[in-house]
Amino acid sequence: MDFGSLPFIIWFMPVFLCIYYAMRTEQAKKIVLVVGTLLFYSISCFAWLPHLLGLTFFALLAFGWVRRKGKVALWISCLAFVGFLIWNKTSDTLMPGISFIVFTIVSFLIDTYQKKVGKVGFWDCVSYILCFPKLISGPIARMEQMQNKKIYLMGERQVKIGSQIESGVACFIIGLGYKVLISNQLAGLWHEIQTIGFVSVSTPLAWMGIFGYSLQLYFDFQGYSLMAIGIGKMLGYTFPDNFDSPYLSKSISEFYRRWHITLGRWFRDYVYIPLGGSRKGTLFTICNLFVVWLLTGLWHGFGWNFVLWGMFLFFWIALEKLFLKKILDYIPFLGHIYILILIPLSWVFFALPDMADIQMCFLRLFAPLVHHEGIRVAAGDYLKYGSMYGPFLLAGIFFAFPFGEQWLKRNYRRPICVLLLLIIFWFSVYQISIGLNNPFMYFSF
Amino acid sequence: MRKLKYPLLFLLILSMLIVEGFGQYLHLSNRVQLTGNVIQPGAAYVGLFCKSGGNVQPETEETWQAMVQPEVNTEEKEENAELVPEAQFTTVDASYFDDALFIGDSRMVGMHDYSGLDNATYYAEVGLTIYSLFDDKIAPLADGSMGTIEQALQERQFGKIYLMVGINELGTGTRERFLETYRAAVEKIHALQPDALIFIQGILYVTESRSQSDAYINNPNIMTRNADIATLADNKQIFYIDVNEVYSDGNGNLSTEYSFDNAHLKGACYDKWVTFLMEHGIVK
Repeated sequence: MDFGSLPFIIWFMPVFLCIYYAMRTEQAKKIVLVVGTLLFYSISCFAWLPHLLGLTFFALLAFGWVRRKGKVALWISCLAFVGFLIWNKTSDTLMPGISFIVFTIVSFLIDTYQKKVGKVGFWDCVSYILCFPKLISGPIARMEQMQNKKIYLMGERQVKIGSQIESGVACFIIGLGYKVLISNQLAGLWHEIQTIGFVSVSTPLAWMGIFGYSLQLYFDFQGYSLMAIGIGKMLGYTFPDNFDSPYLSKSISEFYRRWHITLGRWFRDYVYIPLGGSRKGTLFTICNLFVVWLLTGLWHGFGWNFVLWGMFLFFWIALEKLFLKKILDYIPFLGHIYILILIPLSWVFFALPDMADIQMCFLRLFAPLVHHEGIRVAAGDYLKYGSMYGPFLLAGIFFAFPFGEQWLKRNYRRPICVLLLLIIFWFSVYQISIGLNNPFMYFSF
Repeated sequence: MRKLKYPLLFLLILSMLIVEGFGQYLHLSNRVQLTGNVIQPGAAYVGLFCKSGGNVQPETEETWQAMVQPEVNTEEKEENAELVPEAQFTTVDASYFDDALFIGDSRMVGMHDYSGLDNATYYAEVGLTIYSLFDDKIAPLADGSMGTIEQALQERQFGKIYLMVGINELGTGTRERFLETYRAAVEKIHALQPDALIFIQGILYVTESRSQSDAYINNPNIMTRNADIATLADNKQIFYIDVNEVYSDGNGNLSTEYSFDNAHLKGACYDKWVTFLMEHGIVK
């Protein structure tokens, strides 16, 4: 069950919220959350339910063991869970949410060992793992973040429940709009370019394509994250943000502190810093960065293109650490231009599994410089696609700045904002619904 | 007016209840049906209702069969096909297409963008079907506005007209209805352009993976319909040509080397199509 599907939005969520807030105690609410999560997971992928239950069971055992036995227990447990993750990733079918579940468990084990976690009850632990808003794709929340929740009971502080739900709904609607009205629409552009074949794409269209892809990827993921955070808010949890207007960054190091923040922090706290981080001198820092980026690349997929992606980013980040950052800071706007060129180029490695495609894409992007002649490039193709996708690209650029999103999140009580959010909601639902009757979805020939 | 405590929440819940109620009413009264037997939230039915502005039926073979009156004249069907002479194709060059018109769906749009035959005329649009052929305003008229193909054919005479539609219709309508509508369309084009040669182009296949995963858009269905429309050729003024022989993988599928999305040709591959057309010219 996808957050952006009608049965989830219109049936599952309202019914779940009613049952959740009908509970009288905090513990009962956590049990409802766990049951809801199991139901949610069963509907999406029933075949993996036993594995989910198994992971949860072993995680609970591991929590207790680490608490009692310390370091050895920690190492064995972490290796076991990460081993399971690697096994699953290298096998034919991927268990939905496996990465985020394992990262969540590992973060709790390490935090427990480092005594960062206070007293937790059984249902606290279970609902920490089995929490459907963040189960499949994050954000990766730490246990301490889950403990700062304010769960209110009906009757008592009724005011706060309504306000909480409404704030969550506003967040959810923004996320839904990002996914359905911006990302899904822009996805058509990259798809069309691949259908034409890179060799036949003009240079302006190639650049438009990678900018479109950059926006598509951001709005897809940020959209999903906002939906997850919104649902969390409705339930009384404050999940951490996953993105902070990353395209406004001035260096790639900064970009990856603002993109998929919870994953970056996980790698920083549980891989980079334990390895020594930047405290053991420049050489070690570079080595640690190399390890982190190699792992990050491989985590996204076991293909050479993902390794290249990780290494491309590592290269620039290492340069920044050595001397480039000073230059970027010194010249105004250079950092922005640097990001807006390099990040879209980095996505080329990320998006294309085939090395030949990557090569051809780069040749077309830099065709005038390398004197590359495409085959059968349609003159003015960028005008055609520019007019088709222009509005979505512009909307994407607008919402890449923080202003629009923040205004909507803060002013959801104002009439104009209420109207806008309702329009976004119903227009998104409409777009989802017209895709349903057509078994060929968006692919009209 | 009393101020609402939670305006967004209240209006959202209210609108959701209204839409759900209305949607389920549409569903239960059979005014909107979806493919598959699973009940959907009301919004699904309302969305489709709004899009089509009226009754919406699932576009399946069964429904069309129930709705469509037998259009086929039984006499014509039983009539033995008179002996159709062999088509005498010759090889031509690019100038042959100076007075050519290409009508069709997204495959013809690709032809317009990537074939290099810029001397020809194209009335093509993504999603075009034989049912909408004369309704969609996709042909530029002399006064600069966009008109229907019928209007454009009344304004201007062509030497050859290439027609390629059919893949969008695989999910809607019956085989018989497709053939009869195609027959009527060819007759109409012939009436509007009595001196033009008409080339019916066989529907291009999809790749094997697409064919095997789709209940409607698959190559056996395409082959059946191609065989049907091939019977419309008289080889005197109406011809049937099938470009699949160029792009096939040898097993009745579009070869994956020519397509990324399993249904359309890559831009660089259209030159083979042009060569094929040049080898299948008819010169009176």
